[in-house]
Amino acid sequence: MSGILIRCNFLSNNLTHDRIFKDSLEQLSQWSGNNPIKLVRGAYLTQEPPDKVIQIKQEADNMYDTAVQRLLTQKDNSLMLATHNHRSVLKATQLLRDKYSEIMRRDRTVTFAQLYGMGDDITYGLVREMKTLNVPVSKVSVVKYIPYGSLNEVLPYLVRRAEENRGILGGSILEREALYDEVKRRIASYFGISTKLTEIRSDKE
Amino acid sequence: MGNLGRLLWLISSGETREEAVELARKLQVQGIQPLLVYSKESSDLPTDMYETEVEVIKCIEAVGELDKPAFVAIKLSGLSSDEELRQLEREIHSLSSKTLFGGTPRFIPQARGVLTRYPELMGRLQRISDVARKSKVGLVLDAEIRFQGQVDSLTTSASISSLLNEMGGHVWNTHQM
Repeated sequence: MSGILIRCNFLSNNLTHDRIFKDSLEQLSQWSGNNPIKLVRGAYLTQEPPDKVIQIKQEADNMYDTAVQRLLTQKDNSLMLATHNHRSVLKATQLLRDKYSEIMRRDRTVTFAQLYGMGDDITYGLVREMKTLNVPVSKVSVVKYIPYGSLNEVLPYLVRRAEENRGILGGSILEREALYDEVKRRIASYFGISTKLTEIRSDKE
Repeated sequence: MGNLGRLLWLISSGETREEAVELARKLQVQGIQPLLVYSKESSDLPTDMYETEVEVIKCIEAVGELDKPAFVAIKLSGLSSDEELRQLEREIHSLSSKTLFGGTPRFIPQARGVLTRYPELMGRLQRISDVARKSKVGLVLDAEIRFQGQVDSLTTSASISSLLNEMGGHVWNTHQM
């Protein structure tokens, strides 16, 4: 599979990933201080210079997971983990379970976010996990990202995300299909043959 | 209604703020918090930017009626012209490059000085941030194209969120790896 592109904070092509990552975190502190952070892998892969994009998905996944681990254990920022990657979510929840007291001793919140229509298994799994952990929603929450607007405004966004996922998530065909399903649902809803946004799918409880 | 009229009606109709808020309310019953975003392709027309600001503020006020936590996301590209945003990104990137290894405290104060030269954009952001603060809604600065050539736009959203937070906001910056 070609074209697996995850962007990362490259300073120079010949730096090691450790160095790149260290600089990225240092820059985060310098630029964002203790601001709340929404952490994403990268959103506009096809529009950016190739030298700014990590070409190997596994490396990008590892860097994302390491960033989460270091941000949770070494920084104080509130963190929103915007990801549809099952493994990343599992690692983060495991870390929360193992080091909850240490992580939450800092005055912060931790949030997991998925796009509405995508990653519902992750979202509802996280809700169950949080109930098991018995953590207050004011400290750890699960979020759905809900884009709204007219068809001509929302569709370009959803289609772009689906196209980007074709490049980003080589192994996540289901996620891409879920996005296209959402596109189809939105179109179909105008003809009265599908659920509207206000109707939650009944099998997701 | 003719075919063209029907097509135009279909394209311009859509899922509304009210429907999105209603969905958010239902999700909250299931233990899921909402992050709403008004999805609109960016435009350089001042009227479009104004309408985006108005819609975002209405969205925040509506989300403010929900249980907390609740969030609304915005995009700088929806509140600024392309030319203005690229210029701002170049200035902030240049500043961050100079202060990269100069220690943490210097960057933000200098960036604040740059941002004051963009009063229209900062005015829109300030008004939105103020409404979010009063409504107790978290405001998320969503990701833009991070690298415009060699210019890293992340420093721009980071400095904007820092400035708004200094003024009492609760703004999340999207950090792209």
